Amino acid sequence: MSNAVTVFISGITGVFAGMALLYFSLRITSFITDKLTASGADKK
Amino acid sequence: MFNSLQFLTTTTGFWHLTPGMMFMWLIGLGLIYLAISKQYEPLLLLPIGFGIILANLPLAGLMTPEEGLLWKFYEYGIHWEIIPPLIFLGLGALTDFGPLLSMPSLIFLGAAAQGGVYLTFFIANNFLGFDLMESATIGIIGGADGPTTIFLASKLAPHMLGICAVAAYSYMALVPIIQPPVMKALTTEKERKIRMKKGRKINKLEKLLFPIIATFVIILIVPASAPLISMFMVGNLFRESKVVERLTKASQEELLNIATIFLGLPVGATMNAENFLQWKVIFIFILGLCAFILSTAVGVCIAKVMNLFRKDKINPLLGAAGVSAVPMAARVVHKVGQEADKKNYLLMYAMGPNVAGVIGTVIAAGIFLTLLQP
Repeated sequence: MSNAVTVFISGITGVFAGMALLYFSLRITSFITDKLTASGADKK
Repeated sequence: MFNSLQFLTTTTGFWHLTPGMMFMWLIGLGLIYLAISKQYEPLLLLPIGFGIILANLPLAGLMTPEEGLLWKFYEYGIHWEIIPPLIFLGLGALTDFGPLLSMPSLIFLGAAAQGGVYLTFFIANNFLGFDLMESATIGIIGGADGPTTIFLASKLAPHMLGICAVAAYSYMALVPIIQPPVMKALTTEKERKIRMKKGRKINKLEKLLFPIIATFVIILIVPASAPLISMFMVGNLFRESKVVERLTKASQEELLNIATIFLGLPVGATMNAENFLQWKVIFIFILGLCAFILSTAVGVCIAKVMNLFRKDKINPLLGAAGVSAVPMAARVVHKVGQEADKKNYLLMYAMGPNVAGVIGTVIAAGIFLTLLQP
């Protein structure tokens, strides 16, 4: 069983780490979709 | 004859009434009054209020284990993790992630607001004698997300489910009263006047990919959040795919409405006089308010910290939208922003951290479950 301090620190770290990973995933997705869109426009 | 009459009298509910039950009726009626007259979260507070009255009618047996109707709703709907995920399916189908995708850095404000959840957890455990699981359930109220509060309470502290749900929905209705003083106290007029730079343009493919990527990332990090996140994201995928209009509409309307009914009634019914009439309940309500205030404050402060590293400043009021009361918190940000500058339109920007807050609260709940579930 965890104590309050452990849960507190792990919790805040976990939420920020999770959101940070989601943020970087979004940035990578944006980069790729922007490239795809741009190459699609070039072909036209 | 007399004996028969006497026996008949003892079989009526009147004979078994207690002052505690009648007090609970008043609480139930009070919630019904607030829902109808003041329109405070009526979709939930109305059935919850009625559920409280039903659970406190003597001999009705609606919450009798294995037999009672509302007990069955509770057991198979909430305890079996059916209803809160169904609500999330509907919410996902209603959510537009566009504002978040056009400014992805606002996602951190949705994380920041969870600081209030963990601070309240810490206070409840260290200073008020709640155990770890009870403290987590109280802390999550600060996430301002009713279904997540109910989901977590049903797992960690079922005896506090009704109280925490009522506290969460009551404070969500009071967001326009609770948040503005905190936001104003932590920002200067100049900061409140900051105008946001227009976000980047997003394309359809990005919106379509978001629920899929988010599902992978979040569930891989916090597997315990899977029931809520998976349903939230599949609902959003229905919406963004544009090819399953019937499913989208059913998730947004019929299914969400039905799930809301089956959520509210049994949640209210968990609040019997024995559970509710304790000194701890007062602390739960105070801590719930404390969680809301802290979440708002941490969100605003982190927005100010982010500004230290950014060329294009963000309006720190957006941090308050990180609590996930969608879209109420975003509207409050917009209103407070307009009090400082009438031509400052913050609503669309505030929707970014607002929907990020929903994800943040689910992750926070998942972490609590991972660390604390027996």
